[in-house]
Amino acid sequence: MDPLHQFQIKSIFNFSIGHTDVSFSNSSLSMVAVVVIVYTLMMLGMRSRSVVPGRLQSLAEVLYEFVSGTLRDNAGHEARPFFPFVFTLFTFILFGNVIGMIPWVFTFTSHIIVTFAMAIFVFLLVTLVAIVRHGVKFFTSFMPHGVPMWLAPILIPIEVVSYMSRPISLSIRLFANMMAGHAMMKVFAGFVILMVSGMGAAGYVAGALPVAVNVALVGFELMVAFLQAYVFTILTCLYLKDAIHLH
Amino acid sequence: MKIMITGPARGGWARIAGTVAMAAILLLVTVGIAMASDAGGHKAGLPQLDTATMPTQLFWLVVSFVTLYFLLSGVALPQVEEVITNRDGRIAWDIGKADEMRVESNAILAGNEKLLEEARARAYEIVSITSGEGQASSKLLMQRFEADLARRTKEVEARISSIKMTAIAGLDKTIAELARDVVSRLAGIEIDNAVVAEAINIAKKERN
Repeated sequence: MDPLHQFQIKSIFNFSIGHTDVSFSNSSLSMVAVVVIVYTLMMLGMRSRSVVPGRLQSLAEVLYEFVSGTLRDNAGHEARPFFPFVFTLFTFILFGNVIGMIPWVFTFTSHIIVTFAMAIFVFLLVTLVAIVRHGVKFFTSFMPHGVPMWLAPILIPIEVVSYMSRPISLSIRLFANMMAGHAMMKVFAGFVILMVSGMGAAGYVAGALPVAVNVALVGFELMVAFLQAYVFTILTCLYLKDAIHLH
Repeated sequence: MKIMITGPARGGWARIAGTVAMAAILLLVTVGIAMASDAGGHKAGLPQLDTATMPTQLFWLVVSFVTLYFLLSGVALPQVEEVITNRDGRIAWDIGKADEMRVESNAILAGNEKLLEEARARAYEIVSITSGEGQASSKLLMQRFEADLARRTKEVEARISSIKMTAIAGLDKTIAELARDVVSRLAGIEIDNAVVAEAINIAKKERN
């Protein structure tokens, strides 16, 4: 009945490195499953390498073209070396979100630590790219062009805070969406049990309503699963563009 | 598919306000849910805030993400790229080839047209020559036929006239006998052939 119970990390195989517990948990299982699914999908799809693609190959190619197009449209051709990373990011989050929709499968993207780790990695990566490409000039990007000098004490902190908040907004957006969606579905599913136990036979009739809501929610959550993976990816692309072409 | 991520104008207070508002809402939700689950009798709060499970999540995140990255960048993505590049190359080659063939077929078509034109001209020539020859020969035939026809007509006319003469000569004799016979029966006298012949001559003259 507890809508948060589904987010609990449950160890499957206990083991630790040094004193740190790194047990293989339900979350780890989902992550490994995503790796297997994505890799299998790509390899099975590309098995025949035919000029005229079959169904699975089309899927693999559509995924490739989609991420490739997103990166090209938002970050330009110079961001091409980051394509494998962006592709991995997109498929990892997308399939993590989607397999989380299967009952009893753990949604690892519903944990802030996971999304934050990915977001901070993206943040560090783009900052590194910016510094490597532009050196000290990167720090001048915190002072917008054509602004009076006396505004600098106000504008520079704003720009810096705005820049620093990127990984926070990036990670919270994904985690909060996934957690809220899954909690909501669980709450509506819980209503059915409440109605049946509270109203008896009438509850079986009335319970159809939350079930209907949940049916709609499942469709909605599938859309959110895709959309949030896409948003995470497209923002990564935009940050990459900012890092490559300082504005 | 194009989804616009429209944030507030670059930098500015709006972005900070948005982030702060989002964090505040999240905090409210988190606290709310945590309190609700506490009220439900669970001693644990929000599982997401349990720092004890964070190392294992981070560890497996890094392991799986890095594995996926190397599997994709090293094996899977180059294959897709190869296939797509091959296809693009193949399409370009096909288009080039088709263009080449089109030019070639146009040339062949032009050649055919020329050949056809020549053949037509030649056929016309042959037809005109042949029809000239035909006319000449038919004229000759016609002349032969006409000559033949005239000759035969003459022959037939000659034969008819000779038969007519013979028939007329035979007729005189028959009439003479008939006359003699009639006279002997009616008058009971025998008359000389010479008399009959004279009478016939006189009758002929009177008729004419």
